[in-house]
Amino acid sequence: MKCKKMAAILLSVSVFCVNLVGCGSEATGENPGAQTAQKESQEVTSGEEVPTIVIYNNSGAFSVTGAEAGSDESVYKEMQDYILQETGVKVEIIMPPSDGSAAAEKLNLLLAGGDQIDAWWGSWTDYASDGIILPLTDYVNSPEGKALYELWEPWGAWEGVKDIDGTIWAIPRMTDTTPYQVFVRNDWLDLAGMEMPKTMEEFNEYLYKIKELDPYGNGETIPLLIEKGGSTDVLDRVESVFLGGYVETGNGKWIDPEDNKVKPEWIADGYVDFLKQLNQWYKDGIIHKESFTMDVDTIKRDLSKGCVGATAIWYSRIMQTEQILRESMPDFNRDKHTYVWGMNEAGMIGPNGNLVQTKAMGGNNGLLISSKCKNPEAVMKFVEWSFEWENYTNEMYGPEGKYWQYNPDVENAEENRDVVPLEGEATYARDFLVSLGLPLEIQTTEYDDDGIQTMENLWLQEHLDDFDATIEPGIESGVIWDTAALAENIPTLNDLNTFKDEELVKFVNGTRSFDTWEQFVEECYAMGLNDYIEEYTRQYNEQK
Amino acid sequence: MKEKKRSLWYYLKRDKFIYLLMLPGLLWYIIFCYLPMFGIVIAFEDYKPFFGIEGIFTAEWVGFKHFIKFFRSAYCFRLIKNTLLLSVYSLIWSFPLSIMLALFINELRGRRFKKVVQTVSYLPHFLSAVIICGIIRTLTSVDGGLINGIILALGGESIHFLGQPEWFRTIYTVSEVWQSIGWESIVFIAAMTGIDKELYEAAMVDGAGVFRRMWSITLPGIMPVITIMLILRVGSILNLGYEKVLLLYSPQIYSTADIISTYVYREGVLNQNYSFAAAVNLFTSVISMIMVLATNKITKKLGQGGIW
Amino acid sequence: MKKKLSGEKVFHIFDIIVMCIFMALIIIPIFTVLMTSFVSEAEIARRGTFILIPEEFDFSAYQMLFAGGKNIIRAYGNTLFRTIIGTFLNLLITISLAYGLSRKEVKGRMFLTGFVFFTMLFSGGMIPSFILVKGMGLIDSRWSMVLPCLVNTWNLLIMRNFFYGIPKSLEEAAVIDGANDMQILGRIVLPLSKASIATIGLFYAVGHWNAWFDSMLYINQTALLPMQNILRNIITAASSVGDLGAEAYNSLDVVPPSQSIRAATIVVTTLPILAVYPFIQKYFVKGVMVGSVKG
Repeated sequence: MKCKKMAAILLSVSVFCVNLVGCGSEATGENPGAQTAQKESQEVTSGEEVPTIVIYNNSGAFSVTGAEAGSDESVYKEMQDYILQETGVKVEIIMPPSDGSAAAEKLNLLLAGGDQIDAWWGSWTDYASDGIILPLTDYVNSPEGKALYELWEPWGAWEGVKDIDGTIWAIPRMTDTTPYQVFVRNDWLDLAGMEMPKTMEEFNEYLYKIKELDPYGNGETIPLLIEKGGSTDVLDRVESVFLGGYVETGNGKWIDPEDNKVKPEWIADGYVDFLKQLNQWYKDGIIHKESFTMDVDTIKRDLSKGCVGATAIWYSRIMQTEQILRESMPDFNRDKHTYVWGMNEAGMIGPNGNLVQTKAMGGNNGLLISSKCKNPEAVMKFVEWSFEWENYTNEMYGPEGKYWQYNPDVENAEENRDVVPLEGEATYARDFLVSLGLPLEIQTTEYDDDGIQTMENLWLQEHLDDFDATIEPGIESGVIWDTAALAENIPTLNDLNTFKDEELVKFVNGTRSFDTWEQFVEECYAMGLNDYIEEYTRQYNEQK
Repeated sequence: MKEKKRSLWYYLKRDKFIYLLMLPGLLWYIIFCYLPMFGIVIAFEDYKPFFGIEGIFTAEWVGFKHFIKFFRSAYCFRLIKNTLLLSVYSLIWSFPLSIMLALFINELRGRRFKKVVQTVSYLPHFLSAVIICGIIRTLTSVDGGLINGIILALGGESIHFLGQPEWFRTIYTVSEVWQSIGWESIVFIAAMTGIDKELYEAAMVDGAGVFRRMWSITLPGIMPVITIMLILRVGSILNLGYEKVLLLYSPQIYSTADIISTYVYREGVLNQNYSFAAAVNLFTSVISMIMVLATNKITKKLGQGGIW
Repeated sequence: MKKKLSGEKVFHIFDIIVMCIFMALIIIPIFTVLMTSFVSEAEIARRGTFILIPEEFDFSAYQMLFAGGKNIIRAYGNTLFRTIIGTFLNLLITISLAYGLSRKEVKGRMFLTGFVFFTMLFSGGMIPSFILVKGMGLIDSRWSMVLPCLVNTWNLLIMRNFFYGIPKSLEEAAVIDGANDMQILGRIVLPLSKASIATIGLFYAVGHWNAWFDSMLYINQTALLPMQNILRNIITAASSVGDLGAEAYNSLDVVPPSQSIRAATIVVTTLPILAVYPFIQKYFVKGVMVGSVKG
């Protein structure tokens, strides 16, 4: 008898569980979000004509301080309604986690799961050959797309999202820029009694003087702060800053005139001299011993602490910490120097007589539209609408008047597009921002508390010319590498990258002697450098 | 006495309550673990996630391509060695230490003090890899790091711990032990509560000292739990996650720090190579399986019982 | 007699000293995290993150963290839901299954143990699991954080071994008294396993509390995300931008959360679950009086 009772209990428990599941999925129906969007979109398209689109907004817009828990539902709704009213498109956004690899993982699963994802950000070369994304040429060339096209045109950004046949596969996200440049402490230049260095020689003079003067004290001054690169190219960022001064073609692939083959920068003429300079700096304590292990937090802390004399790192780390640093220096004279950091606007000249910096290619990232998308016109309509300055600003801060206003203290604020964000409203996490990128960004002017333009804003606006002044990366300008084919045709690519990174760092920190350089190059060939050269050459010739 | 051979039905009927009890759990295993297991076949394909479930059936069959690629890698041996060493070092330190910690906590008299010690001991378990690695960086830093501060105060020369391959295993192991012994000791402490108090009382009467009691009562009492924990740990030796290593390593210490999962991660960065990852996973699973079977056999031979 | 007692005493003093050293080793690094949450950004910039005593206590990190209060509290609610409901269901299924696997007379016990253990080593990977969860309609449902992790094999096997440890003589005595399987479970096994159930319950609860990966995959609406995902967003915001580097050129003026806010978030997400432990500990009384259960 008791067994029966127990069975009944068990049964009811399992029924209960199943019910709970049912309730769970029902309950979510009440909340706004992509799941509902999917259901609605099917219903709606058959009835009223309100197209609903779902965008996985992994553009990098999510990192808003204080908005890590997402937008308030009210703001989300408000923005959604506003966009619906303006464009006639209902937009649903899925926000990715802020951790980059987790965001990519989630995107892959969403795509694998067959959810309605109409658009997302990524590299078009990863998707185009498999027919996963739609060609956008017709949309961009249509009359409605004209403004969008013309906005990015002067930046040459369309080149990065076009294939050999001229088909456009994405809405650009980036342009060719020079985010890696040398910045020098203005006040320490005064201390050293020097002008802004124009050549590597003068720069070295400054670095060694600072090492000797030790303005921060305790021997803790770091004359030059450098930064490690991504997970497959550890010297990439340092190369972007300095290599142009040693290697004719800068930080990029080059064609060897001897055999007309495309080769990587680390076997180019002059690369050893660059490495020797790094090694010298390492030995003399000019660059930090932890240069290749330092994380971004430490870099920022050192910058705001004020122990760094010059930098060769990603620009915004300097811009973000400049104000913190300046405020901790009571005797800093703003009449003399507006900012703590300065740069040689014309660019620094290296030993080979060329500018040291290399331009970073805008690359092939952009907003992609799924080939499963039922309503690409609606997506394009929303995107075109977003790429208008005021709409962009609304998507960035939240609706005008409530989340931002034109600066009342500045004349012609509307003309200057001088924007003051307003605080105290419900949290908005920039869910709907899809029009990121320099063309719109630099149209806004920002001032700090002293009424002086912020360093980052000024740098982006004023130093655009520098982008042209720097060396083009070898042959890479205008060439799109097919990453899938690279991985396929260079079976040892990962090993080669691992080997190259490991050994190059050994040369820098002195654990490997430069006498073995020839041997190193041979070892690279043994690791499959030949496949590497052949594949890059093949792709290059194909596109030329 | 030989048991009569009876049909399965007889047992099902006799122990129906127990089988019914197990049913929901077993169903869960079938649905959530065995149903998705066909996904293993992507290890033998060139699979792209966009094509979803159908993609698994339609993707190009490439046989052992990804396995061969992994074994052909110049670093294959180094990766396996580094993975094994990091895991084994963590295991041989944290395992006995957590048992010792449990023994020590178990012997504590003051109840409040005992609570405090235990709560403190498992605090690190709540810190994610990002935070742990941040702490490691600060502690081992060349300028201003606590450890180098001590070395300098003792008249030594500061060491760049994260930049020297010979230090990586030590740093990793110490941080693993630091993070996990408190947490792991909980199981042992719980097992100790199951030991019959009368045994201790009898031992006290016989004049057995603290260590004698630990050795002859407490340890044998928790042996089944020790065995199962050991076997479970052995099963996960090759599955060392990449998160922590990725945050700590750099090319200059690849020679000791590059492990299977970080290598797969770098391979995956270039193109979403789920098939390669699946192939390497399958390989490590098979090895783990062999190691578990071996450990199981050994523990059984030693009379400690195993999983089976 | 006297000599032995003093030996015992010496050990206890030694024990206390060792534990104090141990606690110091654990606490000092964590203490700096706690203190960092009370330090202003300017002081961190000046002194670095290894701060034992702040020059000035500054609570602005906590104020800022709770300024967007509603969302943080909502995230707490989601965490509590999955921790409480999840742990309850975990225990229900795990105990039932572990009990069955621990009974020697159950036919096919070995096969079933192998069946369960196999899943620890082999899995189909993320994509089929995701598609399964989606097929069940669990995407954007709170149950997606509970059902796919209903049983943890590790915990299950430990539970089973705990059940092994219960003296067989008790069960045999009960059988002679005419108790059936259910009565054995209810009257003997469960009361004797309070400590082990508390332990496994704690393991599940903490697992739920710390979990972020499944909710990251299965939840699209930020309103349903638990606290850990928010924590991760806060602590990875600073580093992720840099790691992607040129691939994701982010020219936005992203000022990542300050060190103190990140530290405050860690404190806020860790404290509540720490407070649970002392309550569970009352089941950890040394040496159960086995005899008392009989009566």
